[in-house]
Amino acid sequence: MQLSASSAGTLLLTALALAAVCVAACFDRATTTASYQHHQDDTGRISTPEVRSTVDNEELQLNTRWSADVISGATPVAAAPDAYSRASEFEQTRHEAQVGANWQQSAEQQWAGGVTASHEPDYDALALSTAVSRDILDRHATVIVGADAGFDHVGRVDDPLFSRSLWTVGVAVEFSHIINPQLVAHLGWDFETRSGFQSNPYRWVPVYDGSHRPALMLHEQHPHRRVRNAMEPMVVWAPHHELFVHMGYRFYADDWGVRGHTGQLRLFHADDSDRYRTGVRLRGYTQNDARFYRERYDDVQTLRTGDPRLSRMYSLTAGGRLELRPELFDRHRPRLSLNYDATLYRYANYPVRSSMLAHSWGLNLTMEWK
Amino acid sequence: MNHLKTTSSRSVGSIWIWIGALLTLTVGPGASAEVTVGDQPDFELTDLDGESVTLSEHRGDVVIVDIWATWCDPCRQSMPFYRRLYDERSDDGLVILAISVDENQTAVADFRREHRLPFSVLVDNDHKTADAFSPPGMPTSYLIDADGVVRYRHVGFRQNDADKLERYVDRLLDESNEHEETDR
Repeated sequence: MQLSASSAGTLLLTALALAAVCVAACFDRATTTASYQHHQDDTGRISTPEVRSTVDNEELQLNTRWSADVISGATPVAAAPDAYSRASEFEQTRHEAQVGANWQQSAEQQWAGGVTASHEPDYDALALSTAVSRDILDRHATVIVGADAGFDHVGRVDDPLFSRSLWTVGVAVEFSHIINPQLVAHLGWDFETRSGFQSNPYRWVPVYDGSHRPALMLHEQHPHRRVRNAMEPMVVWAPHHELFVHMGYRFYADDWGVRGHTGQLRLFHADDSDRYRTGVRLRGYTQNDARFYRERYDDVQTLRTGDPRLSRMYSLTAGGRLELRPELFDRHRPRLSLNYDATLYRYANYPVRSSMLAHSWGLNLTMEWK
Repeated sequence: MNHLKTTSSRSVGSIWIWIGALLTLTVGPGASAEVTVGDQPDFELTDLDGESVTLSEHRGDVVIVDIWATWCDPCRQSMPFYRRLYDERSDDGLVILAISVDENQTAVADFRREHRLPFSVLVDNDHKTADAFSPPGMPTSYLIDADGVVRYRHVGFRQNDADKLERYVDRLLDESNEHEETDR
């Protein structure tokens, strides 16, 4: 007896649903979040629907996530390097799925692990991550040590023979300390190395040879190795029992010569009744340009880029968030949140675009089942 | 169909150990064949009027195959030179096949009309022929002799490249004419 594809799909979905019911029955609580995020800037639009769910009991939490990025490229403009990205000329969808687990090994120690896979017509990625967290200093401090590894396959939609790979390996260490009931300090450090193809396979870069007009266009070619480091101190201060202030700074450095500085201030207000929460944030970022990136690509060089994110730039983000917890469906504790961010980018030496304004907004709905 | 034929051959502790092993890996770009001097390529494409054109049908002529796009500034700069070259030497047996990799065919047609290009402009909007040639940059032009062999490959276009290209074209046209006389 042969099984048709639709019958197999129905069987698989039934099996998954039964498995979900069985898993849910073993756990005390389940949470599901459905969200939709939208991002728009001069280069295109990205719409991201996402579903997340977790089930947990006292010792174990399992979580799954699926999201899709529906990317719509902007209409190409002649003489703009971004327009040379042929992938941006049509709509494409990137799917990402994640499964993970958190295990409370003891009162002080927790383990987390997960697998993330994504697929789009010209890019596949697989990543594994794990972390151990331990409470110390009479549970007034927490240390987290994590590691992750990923493998990406880079293709081109118009060339089935084009195949490149990228390996990513990272480690991270975080330390959080409750200094007093109003103040928590946090310090994080992460290190990542990437080996492999890191260019945009669609992008052509104009190369100048001393005159004001480009002499030729060459495929973008980045170094094959990149070592990234970031250090992030942060404090969370609660001047009032309803008000929280997050202040953070992040220093980023890599061996391509990029040095980035991020400052962030976030204010949260949670009212006593816990029916709504509000938050605002302000984020500033500045970086210098990568070492191999030359203003207007004046020399014919082995390494070259048309990526504005590797140029000298800064950005300023302002946004807000509103979370509502209406007293409805009591057992399910629904939470509805809305968020909006506006980001202004300024590129100091990117010949195509000196500035760009991006808008992001989102809607989230979370329900609990106990 | 636009196949290219060419004669060229061408636990924390264990985590750290694992990380160390991965760090030693260097993944380089895969090798890809490209048309270069000495090769005898062929392709079939359609021109802007929908007519099928093959490179091999021009055996006996000196052919410039130019891979270009309307969004490529140096490609645009080169077109007045190719127009003049074609006007002056087409009677001597020079053929120019300009392969556009634009996806927007209207932009190519507008460009040809605006610049009154007298030679064949071929459409390669799926880039299969251009990818098979694997030009190292844009524009890249290939000077092909009467036997269909690539004799010279030129990458980019600067104003002072025109003299050099012209000399190569004249040399190939002279060779072609000498062949014809010998055959007679």
